[in-house]
Amino acid sequence: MSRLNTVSRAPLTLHSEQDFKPRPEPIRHAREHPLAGTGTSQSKVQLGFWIYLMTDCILFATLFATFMVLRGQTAGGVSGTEIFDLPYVFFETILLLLSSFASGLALLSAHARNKAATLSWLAVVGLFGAAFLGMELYEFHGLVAEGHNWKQSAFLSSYFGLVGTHGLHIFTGLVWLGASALYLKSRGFSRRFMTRLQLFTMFWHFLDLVWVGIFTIVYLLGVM
Amino acid sequence: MSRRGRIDKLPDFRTASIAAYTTGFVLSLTLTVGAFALVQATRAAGDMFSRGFLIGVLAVLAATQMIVQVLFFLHLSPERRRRFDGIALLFTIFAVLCIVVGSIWIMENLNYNMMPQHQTEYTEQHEGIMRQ
Repeated sequence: MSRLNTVSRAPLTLHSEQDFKPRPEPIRHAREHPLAGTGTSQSKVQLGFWIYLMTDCILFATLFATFMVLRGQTAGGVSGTEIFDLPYVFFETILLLLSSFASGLALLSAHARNKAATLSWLAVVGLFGAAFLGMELYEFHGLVAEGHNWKQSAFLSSYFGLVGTHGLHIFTGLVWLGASALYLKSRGFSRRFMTRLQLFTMFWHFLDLVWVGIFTIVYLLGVM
Repeated sequence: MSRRGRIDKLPDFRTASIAAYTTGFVLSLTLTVGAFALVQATRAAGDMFSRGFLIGVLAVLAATQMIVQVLFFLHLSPERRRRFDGIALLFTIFAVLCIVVGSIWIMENLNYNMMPQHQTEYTEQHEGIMRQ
């Protein structure tokens, strides 16, 4: 793929020896497709990020395992049935799903080189993501205010550990999203931006995937 | 160049289309609402289903949604270009199952073998399990 690109970029007639010298990475213009000529390196970047996501899966698996082992160890305190508000968490879940969907649409808009649409969809992603995080923090705040903090029981420790780690990932994603949006706003489309956006959407979809597990194991099974 | 043509030239996003995202979103939404409605209905009606049956159904719904999202949002396809993604994913699923199932299995056994005296006597009398 990169050879093809070099051919298409080379001048039709060669005027001097200079043209035969190995040239550094050609400057890519915004109008050129950002992923053109990046065949191998692009998929390496994606594979590398994918492997990071897979190791993150292992991290969440240990937290899930801890939670599932300790879910009944309430030390005489509250259990999931008493503290979880299922409709509230269901609404949170829908917000995150919408955010994940919107990140896909942002990527499609970026493919179509539509800057305004891309920025709008990224704003939607950020808005729903921030709303999700806000609702989660409000839930945590309510629990702690009632005295049900992570020090009360093994169940609550593992609950805050698992859900909090997911929340921390969401927060990191929001920072990344903001940085990407500012980058696009000031510099326009570039190959680097497209790579970042692609990896960001992978990250965001992955976080929604993990949340499906949390919603089912922690909340749905927790209230029964 | 048409937008379609441009996307076709990109192997990385071959399946990233508005149709794929919409399908994934609608399916995920349906599965989430279904699981939520099932639990709410069970709570309202009392013992409508057995707990084991409910856990099974919820596990299937969650697993289906995860597969839907991997296919329609992350666009993992069995094509050659993303073969290593698939291998990494399979290995991860294996590792995750080992961690989760293994932990639960061991800890359940540990709880069982460290039961207080009166419960041990109960299992000896009613389940025929003798302490070594």
